[in-house]
Amino acid sequence: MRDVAIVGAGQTPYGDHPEAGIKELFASAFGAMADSVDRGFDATALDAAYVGSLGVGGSQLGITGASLTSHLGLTGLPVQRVENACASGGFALLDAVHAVGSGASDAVLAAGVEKMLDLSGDRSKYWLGVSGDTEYERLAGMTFAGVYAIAARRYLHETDAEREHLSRVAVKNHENGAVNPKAQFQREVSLERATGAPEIAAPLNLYDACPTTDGAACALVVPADEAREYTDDPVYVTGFGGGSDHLALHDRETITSLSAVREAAEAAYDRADKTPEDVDFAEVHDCFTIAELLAYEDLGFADRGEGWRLIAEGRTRRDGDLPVNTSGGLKAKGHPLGATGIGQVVEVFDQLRGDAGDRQVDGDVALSHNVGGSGGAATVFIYEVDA
Amino acid sequence: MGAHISIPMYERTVGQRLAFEGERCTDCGTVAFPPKGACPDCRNDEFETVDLSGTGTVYSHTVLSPGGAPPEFAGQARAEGRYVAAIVELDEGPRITAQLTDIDPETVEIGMPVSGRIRRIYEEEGVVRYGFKFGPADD
Amino acid sequence: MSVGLTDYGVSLPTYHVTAEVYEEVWGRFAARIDRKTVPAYDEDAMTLATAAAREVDAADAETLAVATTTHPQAGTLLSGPLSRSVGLDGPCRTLEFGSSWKAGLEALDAALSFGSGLVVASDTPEAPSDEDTEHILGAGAAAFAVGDDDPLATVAGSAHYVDAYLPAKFRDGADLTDLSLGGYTTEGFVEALSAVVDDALADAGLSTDDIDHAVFPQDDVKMSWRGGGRLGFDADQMSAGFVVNRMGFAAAASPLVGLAAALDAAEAGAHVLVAGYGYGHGASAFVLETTPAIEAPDSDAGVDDALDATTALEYGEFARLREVSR
Ligand SMILES: [Zn+2]
Repeated sequence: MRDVAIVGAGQTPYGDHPEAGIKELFASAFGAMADSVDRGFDATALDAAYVGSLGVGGSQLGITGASLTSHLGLTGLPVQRVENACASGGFALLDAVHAVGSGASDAVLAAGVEKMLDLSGDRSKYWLGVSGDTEYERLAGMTFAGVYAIAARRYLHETDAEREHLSRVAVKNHENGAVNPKAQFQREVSLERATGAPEIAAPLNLYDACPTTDGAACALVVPADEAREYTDDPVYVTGFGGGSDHLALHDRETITSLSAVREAAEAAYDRADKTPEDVDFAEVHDCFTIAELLAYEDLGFADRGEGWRLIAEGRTRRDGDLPVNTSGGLKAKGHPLGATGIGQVVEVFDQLRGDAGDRQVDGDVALSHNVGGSGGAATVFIYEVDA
Repeated sequence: MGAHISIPMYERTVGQRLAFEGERCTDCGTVAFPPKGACPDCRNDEFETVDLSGTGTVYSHTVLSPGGAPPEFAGQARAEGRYVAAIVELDEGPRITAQLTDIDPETVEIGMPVSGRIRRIYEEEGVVRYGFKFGPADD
Repeated sequence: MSVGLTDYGVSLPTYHVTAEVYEEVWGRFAARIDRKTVPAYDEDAMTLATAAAREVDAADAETLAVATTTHPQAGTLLSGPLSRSVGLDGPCRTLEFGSSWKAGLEALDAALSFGSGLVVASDTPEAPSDEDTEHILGAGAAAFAVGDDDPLATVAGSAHYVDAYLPAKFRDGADLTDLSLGGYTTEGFVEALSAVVDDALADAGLSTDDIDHAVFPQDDVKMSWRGGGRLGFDADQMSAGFVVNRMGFAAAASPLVGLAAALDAAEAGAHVLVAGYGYGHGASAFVLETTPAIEAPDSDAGVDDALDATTALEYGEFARLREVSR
């Protein structure tokens, strides 16, 4: 397998886009990505495209990919929708990395798109619940928040963590979102406000949850040895891995660790020949605050049951030794399901190339972590730049 | 609109929903509920049907606020306000997700003994779907 | 060994609402009872039937006889899901009775005729809550195992009577309608009831004085007590089975929940009379004689405790529940 690199990455602002459907969102992200390629690139040179989307709303569930690329005149291109719920973007990138790494393709688009805010209340609630286990979790009246709440309750039971540590994740990620012009919520929240928000699924409240978001993101994946044809500052994808698990929490051995993530992380670290200690900063999948604490542990940043200490000690803030979610994360930047995994690439790309503005952190090794559903699917990537 | 559980899909699981029918691996004896295509422990694919007790303990739970209820549970949420969804660890080992009923949400605790009972789950396409919920074991 | 009841159990819904709560809202409570039971959103005749049947040991029953006038899934039978949830799925005869409030006794009659079986009566009658008719309506279920293995009570006598009586109360769709015909309603009631009570007592070779507990139809408190009185029974005989006072009227399930309460109170060798009336057609009555097995510690259905265990609703909560459930 040959080495691969990312030479362009861009996204729409995340949030409410009343003027745009999935085609317009995709076009906007594609344009942002093209603009980020330092020496420019010819879109017709693309060999393949993978588009992550859950297809929220169901308006173009069939052949979603071509409906988007053809909108930009890229007919003829082999393109497909990749679906693994909230990890659709991560798996689109994984497919792109495989395609280029195998030698089959030389320029592949990894994209993600989701349009969530144009649905009526009932349809929105319906779509938010489609990625859990349908036969049992959903038939218990379970919601997406409910599943993570059950994990959170168990985590608080099994560890020394306190309820407040969950809210501290939200506070930190809002601090970062406040300085990210692409974030849905560009404002800080106080700990008092985060802990006092209305309950949605005890023990989780509104500020433990990510918002629903419109957005799209694109990344251009090329062979590492051709990367300098596009830019002097490529971002190398040195580690990558995917994993899967039972959809229902009740079928898993534990609900306070996601084995899909552990599988994906192990594969990514092995391939990159890195350890968790080597990671300078990370974008993790904080769809709910508890998910970020679990990520710390599953990614090896902390031991089992000790992840909350990272947030308690401020180590994952922007000024800490392991900044996490400098973009604001899903919590503040927003979570357009299928786009999220590629949106993480955009943050990593900007950070590693020194283009992250007010939220810039130091580092040469970054990690992104994208989870589908409650951990039924996950990807982990490790990125490096020339020191 | 609700998550679509077709009527035949529901019908295939009535043994689980109405009678806690599980399966026991003929090789290693692991009990699976709901039934799987392969033993969760040894991946053997031969099982014998086993009737589970339907009793267990709360492994974890959440109290869902009515505003967030899935559309097919909106009626229940409107009628009774908050409701409890839980993972229950059955006495025979497997865990299962279900609602808790006949209980004050504030009194639910991890480890609390519960037992199964048949209730209306919801109605779709005009068909009432029944299934188990759990309530206090001494009930 | 003669055929009789080998086990019994009841199930009541989660909630109750009191007379005072009605009076606060409507200015009066038309039912002359203290309170009535109210199903939760996830309870109906099927779930109550299952809960009652699970209280009863009838694992080998070859007949499942079910009575309800409020089938949650019109056009299908309750015995399908019920059989599966109580483990009787497979080779089992099913019989369902449902047009009349006598249906519970008809189901009992059928199982007794076959000599064995599981009898389940479960009902959740309804009417618009701004009508007096609604005030007495409660819900509940009772289950009886019928067989000849060490019965708790055997059948000493029975009787049935039919004629073209006035359908003074009937269902219009899901809702109960009461034509409020006063004395005309009572006439058929007393005539048919007298006939079956007299005949059942004669069948058993007993007189009214020999009856320890008598259970009469409970859709109207005044009519029930006056009717029982006119037949020669006093308050001592009628009080144990008079569950309507705390349960409300649960249609076809009422006579069997009343019978369960009477059996809870009965000692060995007692005689228990249960009678049911179906508007527009007639009445049935059974006289049972309890055996020493009735005094076994686990034989009780605990009707009293079950009535105590329901949770009180304020009228607002009750109204909200009804509005969403109906
Ligand atoms: Zn096995």
